[in-house]
Amino acid sequence: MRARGLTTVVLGLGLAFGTGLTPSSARAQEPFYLPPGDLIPDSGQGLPEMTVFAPGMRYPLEQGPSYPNSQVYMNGGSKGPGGNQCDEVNYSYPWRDNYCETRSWDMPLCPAGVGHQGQDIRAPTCENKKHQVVATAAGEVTNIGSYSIYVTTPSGQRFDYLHGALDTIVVALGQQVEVAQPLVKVSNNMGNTPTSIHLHFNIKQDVGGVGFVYVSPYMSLVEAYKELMGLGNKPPKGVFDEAACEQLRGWAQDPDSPEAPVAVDLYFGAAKGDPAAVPVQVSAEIYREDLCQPLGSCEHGFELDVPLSLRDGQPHPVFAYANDSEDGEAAELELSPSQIECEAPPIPDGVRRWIVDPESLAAWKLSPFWQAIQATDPVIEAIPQTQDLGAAPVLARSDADPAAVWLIDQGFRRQVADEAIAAAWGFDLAAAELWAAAELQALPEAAPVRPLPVLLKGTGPKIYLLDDPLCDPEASEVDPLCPHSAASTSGDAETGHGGGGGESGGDATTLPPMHGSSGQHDSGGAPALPDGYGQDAGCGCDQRGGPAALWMLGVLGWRRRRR
Amino acid sequence: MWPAASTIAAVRERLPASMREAIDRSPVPVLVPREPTWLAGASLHAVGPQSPGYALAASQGGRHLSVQASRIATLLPQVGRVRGTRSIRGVDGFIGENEGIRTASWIEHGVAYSAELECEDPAGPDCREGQLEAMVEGLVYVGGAGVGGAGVEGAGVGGVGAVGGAP
Repeated sequence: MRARGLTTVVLGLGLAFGTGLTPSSARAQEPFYLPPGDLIPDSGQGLPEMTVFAPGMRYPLEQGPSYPNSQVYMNGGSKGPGGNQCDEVNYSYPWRDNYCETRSWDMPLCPAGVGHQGQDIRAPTCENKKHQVVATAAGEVTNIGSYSIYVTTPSGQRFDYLHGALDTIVVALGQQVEVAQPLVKVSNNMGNTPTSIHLHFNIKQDVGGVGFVYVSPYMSLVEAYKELMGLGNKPPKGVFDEAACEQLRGWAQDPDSPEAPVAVDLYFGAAKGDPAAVPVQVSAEIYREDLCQPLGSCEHGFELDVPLSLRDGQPHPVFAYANDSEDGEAAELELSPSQIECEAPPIPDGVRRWIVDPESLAAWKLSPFWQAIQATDPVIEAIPQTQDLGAAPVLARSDADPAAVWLIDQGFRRQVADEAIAAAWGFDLAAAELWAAAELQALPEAAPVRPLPVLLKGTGPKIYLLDDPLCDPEASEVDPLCPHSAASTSGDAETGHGGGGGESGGDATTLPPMHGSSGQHDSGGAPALPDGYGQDAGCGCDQRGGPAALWMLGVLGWRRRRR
Repeated sequence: MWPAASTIAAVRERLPASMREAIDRSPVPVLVPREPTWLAGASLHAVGPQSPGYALAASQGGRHLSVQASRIATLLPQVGRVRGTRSIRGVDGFIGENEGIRTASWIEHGVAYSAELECEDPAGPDCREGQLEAMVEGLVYVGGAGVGGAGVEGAGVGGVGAVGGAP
């Protein structure tokens, strides 16, 4: 494993935090360490080893702050600038590597072939026999010397803890120890030879082609210290509270950015990474009172309505992952995966219009995953079929009334009643063509554009738009699909069947009358496009901009994903 | 070439029964000091069924000997093979010092060994580099995987031939 982001560490940061550092103040002053291999000038040739040789290890001191740096070349050291070992500069950030620091003995992994085996570590304060050394990993105590304790893990990796006070040792040779178990207290014990108050820490392991040798402990210490002090990147967390037909609901928070919204990826049908999974991203930013106290921040909820294509009476697993704000690994939420199994909604009244090809589907920004109701073929065939949907939507406004926007649909003009409807359809109002008023007025006016697009899909490849019939109020022949009062486009909804012009305009939260239950689709309701319709972008992505639209369909709510 | 089984047996007889049992569980050949005074205080550790080797600890008069062995190495692409600077038991190895603790490491019969000599008086005459070298050269096989089948008579290689002599 390799640590990341180290190239941004800058020398000479002058981070002198003192010994009273708190985790929060340390965080504010990151980075707390200089890069591996960056030794004190003229103290040897360091090894810029980024490898974390002991991933997941615990920091060897029970408590922080802690200051790994040289005992020889810092204040009070035999080759230091003078001063005292307890000088504040020794107990200040940033950390400094001293693996491979100048020594005369063999160190095969050091650039010079000689050097210091491990890392010198100062405790929170310069006090003898006060600060507890703890096991960095579970293992067996395989040596207790005059001033050393070795703990060997089941994998054969060995951790060495040197200079602890003999009268503070609380383990025995051969004892099995757990991670974080106290071993000894930091001292200046080196037999009858004086040294400074510090812990000398080694990692020793079998390195292929070299032997059982000392490896750099620096980045392992960095990662362990981040964990101890709450520094560095932490994985996001959250809970997938509910996966009901009414709503998918949960919360997520990234501890590294506790106030910020978190992007949550929901995968329908299979787990992340499975080609069969359909991903949808939502933002966990909804205010939830119940989150305020435990999270210290309230706006971390997310909600999503079940895509229409998955309301097919079949079970569909849903996996939820919170994305890391710092490009770390996404974390699967608690209670994920869950499963939805929802009956198909009733089909709104109307006529069906064939979407003739994938290009038209794309041009209209329609999504079978989100907008298609799965229905049996007989149910679909019972719905009158009228004009095909055009190749692409054309919007127009007149110079006489530029505020009114019309959809030009197969020779009819249909009002786009408001911006919410335009957003629901993905219409770009600014792109509406400017027509002469007379030219626009010359087109017969049909029903306004419905509040939301609804598609129909059966077992075959065809996809239909469920729509109002295009009725010409001036037509000489009576169209059985059109109401007798076809000239009215005022939006009253007196007609209860067949879908007349004008009955669905206006309120974006209401729908036309229903056709009744759509029945069940026995194919399992895969969200992919049928043959001949290309790809649904490989995901459940909503291609539209604008705010989420809400469609109340009886007790069934369906809200598009949040942006 | 391994030492003669009879030679190994002679040394094993001096070990406590508990240590002999541990040796038999070792996945690698076990090296121990041959001096009875060291063996009297020796113990073998970290020799579980999943262990890649063993760890021996022994103490004598303020000195502590630690031997560690491993048969499972981590390959580091950035390192490759590093040739030892010293001859240890007939092979290339390394001699160092870790905070006054004398250390040696070498690879013998495919197993990575290291030994450390730690003293109450790190600078004392009993803790010099020569003391460690002599101790390492005197380590003898007493069993463990790979040694059990050794029935080959005659002197071994890489210092193994030194076994069997009276301490």
